[in-house]
Amino acid sequence: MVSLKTYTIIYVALFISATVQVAVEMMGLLSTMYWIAFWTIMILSLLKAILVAGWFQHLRYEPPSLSYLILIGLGAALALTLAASYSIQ
Amino acid sequence: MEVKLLMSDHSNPHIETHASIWPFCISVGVLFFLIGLSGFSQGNSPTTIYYACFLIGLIVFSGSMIGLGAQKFAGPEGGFGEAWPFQNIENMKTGVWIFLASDVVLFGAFIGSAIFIRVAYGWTSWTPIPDDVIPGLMNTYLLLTSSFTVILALVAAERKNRYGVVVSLITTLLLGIGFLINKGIEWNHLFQHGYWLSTNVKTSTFFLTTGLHAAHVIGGLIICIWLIGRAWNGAYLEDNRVLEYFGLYWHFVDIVWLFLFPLFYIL
Repeated sequence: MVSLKTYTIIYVALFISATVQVAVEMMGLLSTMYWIAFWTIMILSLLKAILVAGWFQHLRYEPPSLSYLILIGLGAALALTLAASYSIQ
Repeated sequence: MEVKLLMSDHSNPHIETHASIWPFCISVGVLFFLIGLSGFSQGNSPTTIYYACFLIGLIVFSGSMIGLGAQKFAGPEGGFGEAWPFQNIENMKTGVWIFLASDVVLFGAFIGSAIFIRVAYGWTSWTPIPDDVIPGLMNTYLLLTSSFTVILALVAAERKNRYGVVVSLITTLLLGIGFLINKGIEWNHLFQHGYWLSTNVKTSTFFLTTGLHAAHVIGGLIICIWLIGRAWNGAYLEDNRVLEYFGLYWHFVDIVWLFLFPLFYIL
């Protein structure tokens, strides 16, 4: 389905991405420009999650109903978190 | 009508199994386990009764899980399996994904509550509990690599390489154990510095959320040991679906960590 080469490239990308996240912290970006550093780190996590779910879990090659199933659960958790957090802002 | 007839006819060999004692036993085990755990708190060594409850609960829980796994049962077949919207997806795979969706909700609740509490506290005035990000990064590397070795096991199974499957799974197991050891060292370090579950709301969210994740890792490793035993005897070379389903779970645990790591270690 997916070649070993593709799997390996994704693994290396995940490895580098995790390192970049820590580099952002170590460069002190969280103290100088917190929100830019915050979104850089979170978007990298999101991209990694997409890589793992899409290729390692083969969701990219499955019927989309499986992805919708997970997104419904994720959407519910996110909606509750965001709504609750917004309500106390 | 036909279903009714089937259910009332106990002599029918194809009848579905409707009752099992094991879920009840699992609940009893968990009850004793949690009563026992409640005796473990900072500064107090638990009395014998709590130790006993903890051990009895653990034994009853583990035994009941094995009992449930070993129980033979008949399920209804055909008619409503692999139906819309999951047509062309094997029932077992749909089941695994439904389980994972429920786990998304579980972790969503824990992570969501941690985020909510942090927002209430003041997002930027909250600093992570671990003072060093490196142990967390090491654990990220370990988990990412273990995900990759599960993929290697699947690839080895596709290539009918029994040795490759066994070695890849053993590597996954070792990396997972490494993750837990590293986490144990980190937690112990925090305990030594006076951080405990009940120290403050920050430590509670940290230990509960990363602890829930660690429990998932332990669960995955128990399954991995089972897979290694079967792979050693030559399983999964003709039919590697079980390896794929284990991979789905293991990669999910990896994905959860990809968010726990920045939220609880970096930001």
